[in-house]
Amino acid sequence: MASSSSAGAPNAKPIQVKLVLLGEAAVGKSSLVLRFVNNEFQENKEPTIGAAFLTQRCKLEDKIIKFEIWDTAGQERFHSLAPMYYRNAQAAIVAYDVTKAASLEKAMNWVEELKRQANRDMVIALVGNKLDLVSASHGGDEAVRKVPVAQARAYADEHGLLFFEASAKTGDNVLEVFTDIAGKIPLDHLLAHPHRGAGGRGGAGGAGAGAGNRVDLLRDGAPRADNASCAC
Amino acid sequence: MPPSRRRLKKLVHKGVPHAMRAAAWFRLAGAHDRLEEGRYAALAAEAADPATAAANPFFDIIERDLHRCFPNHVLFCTPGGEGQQALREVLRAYALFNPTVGYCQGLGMVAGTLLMLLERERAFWVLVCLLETPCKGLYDPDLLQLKTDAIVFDRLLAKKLPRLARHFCANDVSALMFITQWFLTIFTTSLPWPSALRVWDMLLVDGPKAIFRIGLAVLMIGKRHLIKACPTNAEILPWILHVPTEHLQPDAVVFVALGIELRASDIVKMRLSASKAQLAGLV
Repeated sequence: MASSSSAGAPNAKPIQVKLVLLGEAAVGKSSLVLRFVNNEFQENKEPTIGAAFLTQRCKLEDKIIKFEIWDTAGQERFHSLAPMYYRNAQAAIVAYDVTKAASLEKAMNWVEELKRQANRDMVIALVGNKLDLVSASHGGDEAVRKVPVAQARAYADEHGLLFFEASAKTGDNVLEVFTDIAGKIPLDHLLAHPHRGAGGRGGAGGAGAGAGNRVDLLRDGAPRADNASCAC
Repeated sequence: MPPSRRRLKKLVHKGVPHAMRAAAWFRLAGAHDRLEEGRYAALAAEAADPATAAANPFFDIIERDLHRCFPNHVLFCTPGGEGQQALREVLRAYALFNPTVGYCQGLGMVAGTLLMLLERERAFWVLVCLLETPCKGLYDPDLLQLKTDAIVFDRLLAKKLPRLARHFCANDVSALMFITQWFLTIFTTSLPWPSALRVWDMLLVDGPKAIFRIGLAVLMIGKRHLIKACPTNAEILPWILHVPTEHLQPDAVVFVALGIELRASDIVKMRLSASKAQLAGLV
């Protein structure tokens, strides 16, 4: 967990953390976010087209973290849009489905792409979703598991990733994924250099290039904006 | 434009009566001319063959989306029910018919919308016509047309709503972040249902400029809120991706959209210029 803030009074302003979700289609990326943001689960979640955007706050010791979550579409066809979303992100969740071996391979490809092209300091979590399907306590069956825990964990360790198996359906481990990510991000650094850090936008390209350094990322600590955003 | 065509457009802009929509869409899309007798049955039979299913890379992804397209609609909510079976058949048939496009997420919603009105074969041919004419290239594997259209949309926004465009630019919000959802589902997941149907009416008589106009209209309606109450992308994007429906009732959206001056030839020119810029690596 992050050390407590050294800078005087407890910080009321939320610290923005941009997080992107990547992974094969239908592994449950949107469901993980929905569980985290609304503590809900929908059995048949409509496929994400392009990307969805959600925000959620959580408390970490004396700090408030506001996750800005880009939940991307899983079909290979949308792959070329992904850089637009992970380019300035401080964190990524790369999700796979514990009952689909190929989804771990796809996840590994994402991890490699992030290592090559995303922020060097990006905190990446590898998350095996649909744990409920393989746990007897939730009416699942270990026999349908296609990705052994040891294999995924070994890969995560080797590449310095956080690792979880989770279930968006039951909620198991979902909050932990996000709080552990928050704990690993150098928040004090983000706080000290909000202009640089919060966006992580080191000369980012994209549509808004030029207008680039958006210095007002923390402005929505103002009460007006707070009404509009998530309640937590 | 012949006067009869102009009159037809005017009528369609007012909204096709729902009881006539199935017949009107089939006709307006040009499906009556495009339909090849027996072709759909042959594709459907091929699609049902387990060997085809195993070999076609798109069938698996179609399967993953079947129970997720309009999961709350009575036609599609039953696993393995008539609606899902029809959707599977039409999407598979299309993937075989057009292997270049195959299946792209978003098409499930498009085909699903058609299946709410038309039986399988007719829905299939309207789908074919949509992807050959007003939505041509939009679902191609490289998504190049979509990316070109995002540039066009950004440029139109700068022209028609300059203050909002500057607000978006300052917050790193670009059209590609929202038109992907808007365009690829032809607004079926972004607008209240009666409004989405009106968008389809317009699309079938006006071509692609209809979806640009509707997109601009949504932002025009939301402009004040977006500028005043959405200081950063953390407020802007959720609003655009989940537009509150109370302002988007059919007559309001269509009225604003039709008031936006935009010619089909403008879209052709702007697409050409955007794709040139893209190829030259300028964008």
